[in-house]
Amino acid sequence: MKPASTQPCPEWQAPSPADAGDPGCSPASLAAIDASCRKPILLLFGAGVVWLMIGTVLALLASWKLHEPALLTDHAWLTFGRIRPAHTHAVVYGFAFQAAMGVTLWLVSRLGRTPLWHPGIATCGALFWNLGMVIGTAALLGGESTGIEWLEFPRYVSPILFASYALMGIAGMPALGSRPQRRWFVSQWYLLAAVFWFPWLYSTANILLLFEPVRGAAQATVNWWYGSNLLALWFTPVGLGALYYFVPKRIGQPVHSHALAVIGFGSLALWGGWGGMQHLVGGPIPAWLVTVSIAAGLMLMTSVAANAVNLHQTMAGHFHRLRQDLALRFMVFGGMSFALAGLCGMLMALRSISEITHFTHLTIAHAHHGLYAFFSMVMFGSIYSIAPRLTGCPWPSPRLISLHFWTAAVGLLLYLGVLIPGGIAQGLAMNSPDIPFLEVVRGTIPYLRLRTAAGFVLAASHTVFFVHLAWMTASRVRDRDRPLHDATAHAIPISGGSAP
Amino acid sequence: MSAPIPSNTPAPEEPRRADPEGWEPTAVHRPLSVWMILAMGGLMLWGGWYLARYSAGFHPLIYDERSSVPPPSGAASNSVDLLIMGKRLYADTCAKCHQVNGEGVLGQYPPLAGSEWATAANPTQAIAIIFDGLQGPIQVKGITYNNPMVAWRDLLSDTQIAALLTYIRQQKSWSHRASAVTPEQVAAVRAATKHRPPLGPWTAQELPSLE
Repeated sequence: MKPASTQPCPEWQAPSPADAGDPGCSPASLAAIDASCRKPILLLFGAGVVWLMIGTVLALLASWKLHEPALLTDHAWLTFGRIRPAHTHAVVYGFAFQAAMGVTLWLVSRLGRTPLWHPGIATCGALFWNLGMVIGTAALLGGESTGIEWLEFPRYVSPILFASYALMGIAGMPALGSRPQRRWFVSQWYLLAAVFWFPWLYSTANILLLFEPVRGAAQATVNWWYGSNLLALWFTPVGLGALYYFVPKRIGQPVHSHALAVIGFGSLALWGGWGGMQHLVGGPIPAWLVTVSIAAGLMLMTSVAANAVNLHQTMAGHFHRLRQDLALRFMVFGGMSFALAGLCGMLMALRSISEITHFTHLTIAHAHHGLYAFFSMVMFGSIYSIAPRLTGCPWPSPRLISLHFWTAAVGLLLYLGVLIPGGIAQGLAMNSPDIPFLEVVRGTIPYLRLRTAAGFVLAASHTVFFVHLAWMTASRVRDRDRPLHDATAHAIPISGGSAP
Repeated sequence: MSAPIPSNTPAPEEPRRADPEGWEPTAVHRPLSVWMILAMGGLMLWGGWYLARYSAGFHPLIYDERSSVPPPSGAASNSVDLLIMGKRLYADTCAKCHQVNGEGVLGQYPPLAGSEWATAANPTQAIAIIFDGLQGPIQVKGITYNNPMVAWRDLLSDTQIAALLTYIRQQKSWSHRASAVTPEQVAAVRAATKHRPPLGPWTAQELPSLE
């Protein structure tokens, strides 16, 4: 071991009791925790990946239709207006949410040293969540959409999803409340906040938009508040919670700075919920509402900067691990995307920039930047770390993990590298009075074609992941007598075929 | 040197602990770097300055962040140019039948341009026709038309009907020079004919009784 990696900082020489590392708990209680998590979390991951595949097919169709509008127009359920919301719901609530829930439940029980309370309740919740997803997606394809972005499911689906969430949350409550260490770990702050922020966001948006709808411009205000904060106050804290656990865990180092973590969490909690109205620059709402969101975005940069520096300093001196630790690659890619997406989000909020970028494909690129390049990549890394512990079975092929990573990374870089400049060019052209609108639309077509190409690369990466997960499940089913807590099962994916 | 922090990553150069699972990460207590504090303070100052500079006094009626003057109250309703509003409404509402040039369609829809009904000194009958529509034969510029007109009572406001009639009655290219119609005149007719809707559209014979 290199000396640098055993001596991360001078303070480490004389650690205070809190820094001396957390001895964790006995293998027996770890086994009990993993056994309680097994069914609900594997169900969430498995169903999530199936929804990821569904969402991918819908995304490819929707993307293709943007440059070949005549494609598959004979069937009403395959028209753009239906498959686009079906795509966003499949990936946001089908994949990203279920992955987030699985990772959250596993992390809180692991860090709280407490098994899930009646795991059957969580399994039930996961089943009902998927039932709601199936009903909602069928309704969307059948033409029954509320027309409210990210809440397009008809309103009878919301109570199903909300109740399912409550069931899953209840199972994790004792673990969330338990505090075996003198001090809560960083990930626990984020997860504890996130599990209460989500129901607040979801119920507020549902009541104000679907059940007792506010009128006029207030509707757009609430809608953007929800869309922006689902990312800022649900997916971001879960993603950060996972990063703060898995990055130090996988390199065997403590988190660089407790103080930076406090600042990162505190400023997210303080400023995160004010966002959304920066998307309504120039819209018919009072100027101060927009200004408050932009100012909150500027202050939120303290959270992005503190977390980015903290995670980077934790990794510093250990980047060589990326050569071998495949799950860590997803984590580091996600962490870097978090910093970049946060910076882009702040810049896009500024009025002078928003005037160009709003109503362009850049908004779509930014959503994928945050939800995919940051959040989903962290979730992939987490699933690669967690699933072997729950199935008792190692990932069959490190090569497939590597292939998943590289196709995902190349697809994302292509996607963002095409759509960000494409969106800026589109915005500049739209703002120029000399260019007729149809010319602007025609000008986006080359970018949209390349976007579809990026979509195919990403579809390939999802297929690799899906096949790998199915392979792992199949080998577990074949080998069902194997003890759950087999030491070899905990081996972390290592490239070069050294995994068992 | 303290004991190396155990790793659960079985990298070849590092010995694995007996139980790599058990160890859980913690966070180190160390002072913040001065540069981080300065950078964060800068961001806070920027955010605070932005809020102070562009919040327009948190006034609910200021939509332009660079402005600090609220729009004069009540100005909106006083400053409506009935002729411009009427022109837009005519194109949306009337021109489908009476045509943009006001000539109507011979034998189908009577003309408005040069029509004695449209330019009558007292606009009451024209207002009433717009409110409740018209049925049965009616003679316009010597030609009899017999095609029902729909009612607009619940679809157009007093101001909108005043704007439409002002536009029609003062349209220069039709050589109309009749008086303008005010929203108050329309409101008076609306009140006077409020019991009409159940009886259906007007007929040409009934209209003179409204004078």
